[in-house]
Amino acid sequence: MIEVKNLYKSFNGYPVLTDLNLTVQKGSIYGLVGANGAGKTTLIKHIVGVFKQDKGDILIKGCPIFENTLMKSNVGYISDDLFFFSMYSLKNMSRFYKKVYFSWNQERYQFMLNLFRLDENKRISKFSKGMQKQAALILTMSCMPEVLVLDEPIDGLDPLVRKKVWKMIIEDVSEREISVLISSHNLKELEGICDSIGILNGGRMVIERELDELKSDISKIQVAYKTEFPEELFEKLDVLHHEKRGSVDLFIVKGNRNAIIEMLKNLNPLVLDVLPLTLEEIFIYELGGDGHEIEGILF
Amino acid sequence: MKSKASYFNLNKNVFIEDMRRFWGISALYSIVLLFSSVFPILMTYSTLSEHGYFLINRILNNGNFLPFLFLTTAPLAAAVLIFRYLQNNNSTAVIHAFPFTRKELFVTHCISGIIIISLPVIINGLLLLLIKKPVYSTELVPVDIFTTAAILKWVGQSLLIAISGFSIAVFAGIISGTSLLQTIFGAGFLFLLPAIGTLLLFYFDHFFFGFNSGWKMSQLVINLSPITSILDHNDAQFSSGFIILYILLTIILLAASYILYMFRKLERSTDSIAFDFLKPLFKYSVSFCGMTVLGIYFIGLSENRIFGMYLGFIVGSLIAYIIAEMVVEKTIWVFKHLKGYLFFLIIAALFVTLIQTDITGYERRLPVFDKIESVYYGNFPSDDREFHTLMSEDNIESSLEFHQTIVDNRKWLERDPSSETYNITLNYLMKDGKVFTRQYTLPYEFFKHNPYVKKVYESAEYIKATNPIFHVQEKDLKIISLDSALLPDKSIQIINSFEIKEFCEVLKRDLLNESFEDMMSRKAPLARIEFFWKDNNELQEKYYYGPALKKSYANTLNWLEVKDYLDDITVYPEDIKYISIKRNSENSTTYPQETRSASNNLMIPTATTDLMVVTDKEAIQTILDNYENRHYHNSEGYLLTIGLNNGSTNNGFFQITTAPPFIINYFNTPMVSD
Repeated sequence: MIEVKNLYKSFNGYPVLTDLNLTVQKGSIYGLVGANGAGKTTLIKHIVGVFKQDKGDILIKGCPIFENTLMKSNVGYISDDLFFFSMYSLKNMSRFYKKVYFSWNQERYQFMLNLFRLDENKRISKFSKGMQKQAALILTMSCMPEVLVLDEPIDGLDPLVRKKVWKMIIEDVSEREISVLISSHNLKELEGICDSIGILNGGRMVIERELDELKSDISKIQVAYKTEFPEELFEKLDVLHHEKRGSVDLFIVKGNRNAIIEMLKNLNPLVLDVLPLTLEEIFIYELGGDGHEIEGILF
Repeated sequence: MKSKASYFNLNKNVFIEDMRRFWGISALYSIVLLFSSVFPILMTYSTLSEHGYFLINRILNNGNFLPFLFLTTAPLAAAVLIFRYLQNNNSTAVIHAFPFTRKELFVTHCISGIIIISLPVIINGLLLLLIKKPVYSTELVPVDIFTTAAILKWVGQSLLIAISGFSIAVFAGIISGTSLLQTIFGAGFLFLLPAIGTLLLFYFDHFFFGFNSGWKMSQLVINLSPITSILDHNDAQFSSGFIILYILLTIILLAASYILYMFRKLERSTDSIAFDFLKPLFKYSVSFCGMTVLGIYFIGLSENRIFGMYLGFIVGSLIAYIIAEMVVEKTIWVFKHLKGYLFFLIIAALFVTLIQTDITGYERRLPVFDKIESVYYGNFPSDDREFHTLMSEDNIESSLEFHQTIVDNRKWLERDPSSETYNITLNYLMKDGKVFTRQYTLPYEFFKHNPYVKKVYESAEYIKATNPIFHVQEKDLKIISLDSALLPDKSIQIINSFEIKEFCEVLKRDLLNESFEDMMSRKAPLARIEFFWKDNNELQEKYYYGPALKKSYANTLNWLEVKDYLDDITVYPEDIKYISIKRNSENSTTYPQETRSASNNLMIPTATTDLMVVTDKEAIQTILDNYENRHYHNSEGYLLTIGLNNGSTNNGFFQITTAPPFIINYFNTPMVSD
């Protein structure tokens, strides 16, 4: 649904996005992660057709997005810094959105208005920052877009509202098979929501993975034997990380989980536990062991 | 999710939203127009036809302050507010993410802006049409000024100013990245063409010896912008040429804005200048202005004008360049980025050199004798074709010869430091209708001793052309009044028509016989001559000051004597109480002071080595016969205060070369040739 191919963009001669590729499948949620200044917002502004790339292609449903009103009307976008017409209430804004987007869904608008308990007659500029974000969500989601691009959408939202938002997005993905791209500077935020994650650093895509594949591919295992840990196992396993805690050995191992467990069990361990891995850990180990490199990027 | 369609690139939704958001500008402007035109007219409606001239005249010429202010600022405000979304990162992203093309956005915003600023004018125009009734001008033959045509002209003119101002402000908005700069550029560009014209006139004036930056040229420059045109003359009538120019400029600006918008990189919002290629242009233009302005200022300040000018050029351009760089980079720490200034200096040096070398031969060029129809020969810049026009071959030839001597001597004439100068304008009307014009400021001495000028000045054609007395029918003259230059009490009126005729004849004879040297003489005249006449066709009394009655007009003086008039206008030594004299030097250029008694009688001052006091009748007569009434500030000589018995005083002057020996001896100064 969203395809970015070999995107290159420079500001005043300095490259800000280099050789960037990204794909968001239909009916999936893509998490774009990166520290401040990594180029997330710049990338997003290309995807929604605001910026024109220096090189490369940006396609929505296979068509270039830039100056393409038909494609743009399929894209819902919530920017990092919000903008509403000055002096407008949510009702005024909704009237404008309703006229501009054919697929406007008044029922959803009413539903979300009730859900968030916003006063649609109040001037949006009088709303708090969080409420303004909610207003933007209401307007954008009510347009029923096929592609939803959210730049730091949950900044300033309280956990309860956040939960409601995620629920609604996930419902849209499963029911209407929309494609969603969410950016965040915090990997933890995206845990449990995204199907794929891309990490952006210095204008380059450092790593791009499907989470299911990742999670089944990397395992955190705690194991203890009566005697020393059998050295020969090191050669058989793809060990990303190994740590000794007294008599217990902690492994981060890559490969088929069942096969690995089978292999360890054969040597009669006293203890054998498979521990949960956070997204953060997965990326740290995937990217190079001790994690110093990626810590600079993400946290 | 599909977008609703737009028609002819006008997006209905954007248009409606623009109207909804910015109708306030229209409303405010309408109220101002209503309160300053329709309301005052209605309030004085019953007496409008008789007393409404000034009110209607002001309204229809945009002469009222507040409406004029709105006429210029409402378009700017509309453009700044409508295109404000371009100057802010959030709004740029959100607006351009909507399913509109840039073309739709631009076209729609321009149309809504033009409607917003035009509606008040159109509404007011319609209201004026509804309430119009004849209002007559105060001229002798009254004309109705409150007509449909006049109202439509006002509507057209106002729309032209508003829409051209709007297009300028839109252009400013597209090229700049902040609303503040858009406002500054939008306001500044209104004056850009006249400003550039004025700056160029300075260079032409300064570097093209003979350049005539006369009235027509400055009018042309002022009319380059409708705003300066209106500001300059309140009853602005845009000529059709300028109307076409303004319309063309408006179209060009809107087209350029459209093209630039298509290429505008939206990430450039909040930058000062949104296009890289415009940055040097901006910096160099600002530097050029700074250079010229400080150059002009320094010329006035310093004793060495050439040095002052170049110093001004360098200092002015550097300061302006730094400021421009600060604006472009939005920081005050620009001192490491001044390499571009060197480039500017090279271009500026080339420009100044090019202008100085006169590659087109402007300074040397003279018209060809055979192609000249007539020549205007006068001492104030004019290109009026009917005035002082000489057509005789002799005069055309002499003028050309004189012109040739100026051109041949231009190198030193240009640099001559004489403080006594003489302005001369030479306008040749060519047979093909073109005008060849030059204006020179020449050293007085150069002019005074030129044989060709003498030939022209002594020609009957020139004398007749420059003295209106030759064109007045003597039978129309009612009164000729002669007033003594020194003592206004001494005056006579000639009212006898026969005497008037005789006087005119002798005066004409003296004028025609006057030598060039006498014309150039600064000797104080005996009296002033005023002519009063009534034209057959006109009821009003007319008069003008004729030539001064000079002491060299022997025929006229003789006639006055025979008629016993001379005595009545001549000031004799007996009328003079004293004459005090002091040297004119650089340190002291004030006339000797007069002192008065408690009863306000003139007191004869005490002579000192620096102050000569003359009371001797014979000496006074010598002074009266020879004193001059014109002097130049720095020229050496003697300053006179003539105290009269009636208590009034007058001033006079002697040059070193014209002063009587007894004055020179008194101050015991070595003779210095003039």
